[in-house]
Amino acid sequence: MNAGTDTKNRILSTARELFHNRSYADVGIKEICSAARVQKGSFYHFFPSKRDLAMAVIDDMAEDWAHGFVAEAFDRNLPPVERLDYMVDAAYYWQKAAHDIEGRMPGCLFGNLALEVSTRDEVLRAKLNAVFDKASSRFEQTLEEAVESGAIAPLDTQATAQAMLAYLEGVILLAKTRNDPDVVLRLGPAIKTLRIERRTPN
Amino acid sequence: MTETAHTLDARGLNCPLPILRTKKAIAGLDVGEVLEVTSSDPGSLKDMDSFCSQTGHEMLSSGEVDGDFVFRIRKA
Repeated sequence: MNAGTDTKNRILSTARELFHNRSYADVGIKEICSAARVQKGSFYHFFPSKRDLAMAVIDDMAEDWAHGFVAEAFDRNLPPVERLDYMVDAAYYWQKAAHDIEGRMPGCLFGNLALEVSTRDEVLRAKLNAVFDKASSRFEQTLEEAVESGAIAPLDTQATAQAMLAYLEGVILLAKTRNDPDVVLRLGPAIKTLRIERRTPN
Repeated sequence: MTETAHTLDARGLNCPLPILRTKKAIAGLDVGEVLEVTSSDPGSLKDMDSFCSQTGHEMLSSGEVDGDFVFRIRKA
């Protein structure tokens, strides 16, 4: 890895951690540079603005997730409905591990950012919306397979997928507010019970 | 006496991947069979304990071996 890539990655991972544990607005470029041991000039070489950094952090995290636990949970070798349990487990253990270390539940970085910036920054809102759309499509694909295999009765896969994502994000938000990862464990598995019927033509 | 165990190498993976891989590996075993998991993630110590208490699988042993964490879990 060359020095430039190393510096850029250091900025990204530092910003990701600070945004996640605190908030986007609360963390300034100066603090990120100092925590990442990077000069300000070097920061602006990679990221013209804080928003550009946030866009890169979102891409970076989405990429990590897609190849990490999301790929592991939405494993095509698993029966479709079981993949939902794996997703809930992933959310629980991930939040619990952070809680064990920090004493606080960080919540979902994408959910946190969406709540914080959606009314303030149209570009970031659209970016986060795209991330949620992508997540939703993983659920949708799973539901389509579940319907095809006969595991569940036909339903509106797109709307149900969005409801499942909304439920998981909501459960994580409630658990964060209670600072108790066990909320995810208690409520999460009911994600499988969600279903939105197809609209019948009038 | 040490029972022959199925093995899972989860070194280099961070939470929650070791748990997800463990769950998958155990799903493929028969009741009573033993899985030996090796992880490099220190968080695994607590995670594997809570995984066992939630699923009912029995933690036969857990400990540090050469800087990694080794768990022997019997499927319930």
